[in-house]
Amino acid sequence: MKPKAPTRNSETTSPLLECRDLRVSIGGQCVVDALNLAAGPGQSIGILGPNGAGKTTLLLALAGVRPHDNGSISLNGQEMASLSRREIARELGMLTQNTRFAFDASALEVALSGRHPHIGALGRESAADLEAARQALRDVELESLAERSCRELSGGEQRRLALAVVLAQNPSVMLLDEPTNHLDPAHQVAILDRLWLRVHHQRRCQVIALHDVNLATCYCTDVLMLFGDGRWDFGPTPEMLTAARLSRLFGCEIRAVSDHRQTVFAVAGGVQDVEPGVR
Amino acid sequence: MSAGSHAPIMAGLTALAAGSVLLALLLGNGSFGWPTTEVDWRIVSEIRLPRALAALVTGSLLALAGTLMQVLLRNPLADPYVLGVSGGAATFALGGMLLGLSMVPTELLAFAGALVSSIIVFVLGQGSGPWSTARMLLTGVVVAAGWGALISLMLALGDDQSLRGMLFWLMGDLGYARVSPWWLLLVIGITVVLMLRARSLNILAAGETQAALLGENPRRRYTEIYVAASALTALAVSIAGTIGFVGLIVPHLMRLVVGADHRRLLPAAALFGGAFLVLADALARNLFSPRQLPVGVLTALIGVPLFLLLLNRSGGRK
Repeated sequence: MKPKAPTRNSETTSPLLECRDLRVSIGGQCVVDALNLAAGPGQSIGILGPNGAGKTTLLLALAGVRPHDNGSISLNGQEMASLSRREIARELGMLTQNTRFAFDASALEVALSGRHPHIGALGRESAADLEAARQALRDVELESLAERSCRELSGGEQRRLALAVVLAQNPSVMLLDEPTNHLDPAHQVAILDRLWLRVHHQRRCQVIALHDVNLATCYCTDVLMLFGDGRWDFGPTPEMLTAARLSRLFGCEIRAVSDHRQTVFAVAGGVQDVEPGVR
Repeated sequence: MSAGSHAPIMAGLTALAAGSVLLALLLGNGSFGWPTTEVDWRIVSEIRLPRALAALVTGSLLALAGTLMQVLLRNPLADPYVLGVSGGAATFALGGMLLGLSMVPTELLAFAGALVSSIIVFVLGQGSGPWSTARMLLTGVVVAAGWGALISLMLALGDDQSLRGMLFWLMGDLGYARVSPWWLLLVIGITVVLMLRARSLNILAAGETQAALLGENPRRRYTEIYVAASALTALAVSIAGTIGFVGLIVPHLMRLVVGADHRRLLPAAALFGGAFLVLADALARNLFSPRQLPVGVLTALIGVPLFLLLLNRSGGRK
């Protein structure tokens, strides 16, 4: 369990990922408008929003693999539009929501693909690349399945393998689209712990789309709320994650329940006068 | 993982390819033996050797094209003809025969037809949005059906005498195929060039978004793969007509043997594809000797049950 909510180091450093006046839309519907966001070393930004609010669309736009309507994105102070995909991939990695492995390859070979942007066009993987891939598999607790075919892994194991690819890539900016999908609670915490330590100790930054508000309270220094119509709200986690704001965001009543260690947000669900099972 | 552990397999495949050519040289008219008379030697060097080389080259080209097409469509069950290339080749070849265009070699017409079909599918198969394999596939299938209709029309209009020549393009036959030994160098060169790009192919096989996130420019790379696969298929079709199942089954089978890493898969597929077609053609020449079967009939007869077996295997695993 996390002892307390992570805090952001207030030292002023130049942002690793920054967007200015960003407008992203999907199918004619605006996802965010005039978004200004800067993620610096040690920062972990959680994206929260209802289904279809555009969390994935925004992450893909920030990764530069989906066009945006307006504004600009910069990576390490350089305009992303002026960088090649290869230059971007050395600094920015993304775990997408769905990973499908069309072809058989061992888990180690898949993890090794994360080293691709770091190896010259005609080069081969070095011993250091191989070790990075093995370390990535250890980080997601898949080292015992290194030689197993990626298609024979369970849903949760495939999810962790996809994360191992990004860990092997070792970018300074990591975008994660619901990294805890398909994972049991123990692995959710283990993976997010690992990612958080990376951000904290190696001075990286990450942007995570999350469904679980309570994971955001534990692992995010800042929160970006997407309302699904272009409106957004951004601020430090303690300020953003309140029952009132969350209720407004998700359009249902959310209560803050507190014990001595942490505050947990719960949906005030259930139909009045009807208990489950006696309908 | 390392290249070393797969060296014996590659050596074995090379030996298989060389052995298959030797077998094809010594096997003929239903008998097997070392050539003794001068006539025998001439049969071996002037008839069987060019034909065996044609089989080797065509098999390699088809297997390489199939491997690329499977990356392009991100489907291990795609084949080189899936985008209507063979239909275009056959339509142009048949059209040339029907119109009596004797000054243009039929091979050249077939090659042109294959390229025209590729271009049509490429232009129509790309929407304005992201690269869509589904749209590409559907376009290919529909264009192939269109060529099929034209072929049926021409067969109905053609006279009985030209019918046999026309069937050649539809069934795939090495009976008239001759290639010079330079083609072998060409195929080796193509394989080496593709192997140099093999790590990119591995990444591209993971899909457009993932490839972009790992530093590739998918649009450009997919276009390159498309052009390469189409050209290889067009070459193969112009040599020997439409020989089915080699491009489909060989990459699939080799993936089971050497894995999905294209640095090993490409040379393995080229070697085994060549060997497979040489052996199939040797069988086609001798099975009902002196009657010769079109090799396409044989590859289909072997290919269909093998394909179903592999499909069942991969289906049961997932």
